Amino acid sequence: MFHTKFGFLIDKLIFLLCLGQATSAIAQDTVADFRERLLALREAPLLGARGDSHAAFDLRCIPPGGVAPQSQMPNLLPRRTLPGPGASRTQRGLGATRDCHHGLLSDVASEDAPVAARHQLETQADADTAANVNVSRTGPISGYMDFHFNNVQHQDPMLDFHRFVLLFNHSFSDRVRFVAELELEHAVVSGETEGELELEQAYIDFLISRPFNARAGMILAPVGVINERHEPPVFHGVERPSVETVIIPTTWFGAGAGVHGELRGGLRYRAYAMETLDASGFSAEEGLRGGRQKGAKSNAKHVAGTGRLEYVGTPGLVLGTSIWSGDTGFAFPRVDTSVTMTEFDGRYRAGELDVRGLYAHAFLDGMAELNRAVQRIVGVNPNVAEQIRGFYLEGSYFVLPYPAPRELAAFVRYENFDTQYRMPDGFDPIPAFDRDSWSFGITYFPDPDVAVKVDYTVLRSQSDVIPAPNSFNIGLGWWF
Amino acid sequence: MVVLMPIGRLLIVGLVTCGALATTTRPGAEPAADRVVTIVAERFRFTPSEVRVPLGTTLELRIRSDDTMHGFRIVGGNVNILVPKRRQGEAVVRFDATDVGRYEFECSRLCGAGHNFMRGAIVVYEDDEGSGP
Repeated sequence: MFHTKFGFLIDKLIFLLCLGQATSAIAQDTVADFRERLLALREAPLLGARGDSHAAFDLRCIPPGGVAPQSQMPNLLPRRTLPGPGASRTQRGLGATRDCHHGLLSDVASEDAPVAARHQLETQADADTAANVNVSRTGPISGYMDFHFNNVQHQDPMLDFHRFVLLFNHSFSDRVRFVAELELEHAVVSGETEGELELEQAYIDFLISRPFNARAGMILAPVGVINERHEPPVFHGVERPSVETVIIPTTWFGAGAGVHGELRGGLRYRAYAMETLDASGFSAEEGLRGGRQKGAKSNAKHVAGTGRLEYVGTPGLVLGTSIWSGDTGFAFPRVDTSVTMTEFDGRYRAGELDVRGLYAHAFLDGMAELNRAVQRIVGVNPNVAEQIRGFYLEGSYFVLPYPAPRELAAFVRYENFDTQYRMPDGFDPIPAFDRDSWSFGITYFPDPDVAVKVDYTVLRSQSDVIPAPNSFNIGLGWWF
Repeated sequence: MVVLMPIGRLLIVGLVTCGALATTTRPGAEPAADRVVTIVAERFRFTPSEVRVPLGTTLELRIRSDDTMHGFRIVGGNVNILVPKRRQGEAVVRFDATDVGRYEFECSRLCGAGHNFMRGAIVVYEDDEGSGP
């Protein structure tokens, strides 16, 4: 233990010397001041920026008076990191960045240290954390990526960098926090591609108490399993479950505000008012998916209400139910439409076995009028149903339950989903949209945050005319 | 400057070594905890998320992750540590329940979209209050 600690300190000292500050500090400072600096240097790297707030972030590397002001005078050099009382503070912050690469700070020592060594960190992190309560600080950038190879029957195989997502966060204080998720889908955004750049989340949390907190901004609808928990290493299968794509339009996000918290007995809730769906975007094949307004000048004539209640009080078990309800008709005058979706889900993990299931059912009112209105204007009947529903069951098992890189899970999933479950009077269902599928495959984890996925999906429909294509998929997803 | 550098290195190493010896806590030297609780961290919850102990208890929390690396921070307190990734060990926190009250903890490492949901509490109650507040 002592040797480990001693090694850390030597590294810090070498870094200090590399900065070229140590020698001048010895020469100029009093012993007391110098010791104070050494203590600060010794403590700072114990909490890395990859962990929480690094000293460099807490200090923001900006000394008092050291921020470069805007200059309106040509040829006048701006002030930069002025010397003075703030300078040593800044250097201390910067000096803490013993490991700095790719612009992200991390404390390799603490992340790689053996478990026994971690025990020490708690006692030595005190000064940093206690001093930084309610200090405004920006966290490190996190994110996840999803890279796919899809080989769908009767189609050319495809390589797709499906998702490139960056997460940002900032704490104004312990109680006021900002989180954002910026997503680039399909690599390129242009008029000729399917790429999209989306602000999927950007909200401020007002953390008032454990049972009652408020949130506002661009938020996720708290519906289903994947919508709020969609990092690639946390679900099996290259593609997200079809039920959570065409029945629950994941990723379902929009502008809104609401409350969330945890009650006694392991109950948690979310309740939001958020932008509604635009019924003119509903379709026979993908249900509600095309109706998401995505916070882009969303029509706010109507507001939807959504909520989720879940039980998380037993280790390994999560039971949840969600509801979303709102008026959706504003694109066509005199066509009043509305949607109410209910959903139930559960997940249980016992040892290496993980079982999960979900059932979602949406009731769409006014679809007959909507179908007629769209047909009058566009000339094509969208044939939107008045009920859509789907469910899935999935089981997975860690067949190699060893620390990475020897961690491997196998899974199988059955899905049944119908976007034409009940049709309005005068409209007939299209059998091709009454589908079910079997997916089976493996997920290999070279690291718990990196998932290599291989699966095969057998898709079937009730249509005798239009074949449902099977698919072979390989995916690489990671979180950092 | 050049002459001072080797002396400076020795001085720094000496001072820092003294400092390290003064602050390092040897796990083996700690008294046994009155109560040990294992907490599982995963996106986006701690289970159990509430731990109740009577006043005067020395509590040891053993926190392990079922997925990515999380953080464990007692809000306003003096604990903030990393929780290793799945199957890579556990973090250990000792908590001396010296004052009655609620001590909230949270994940201190951004772990995904629901990061802010990862919160919990240690409740310290008077022994004669039964199950506590």
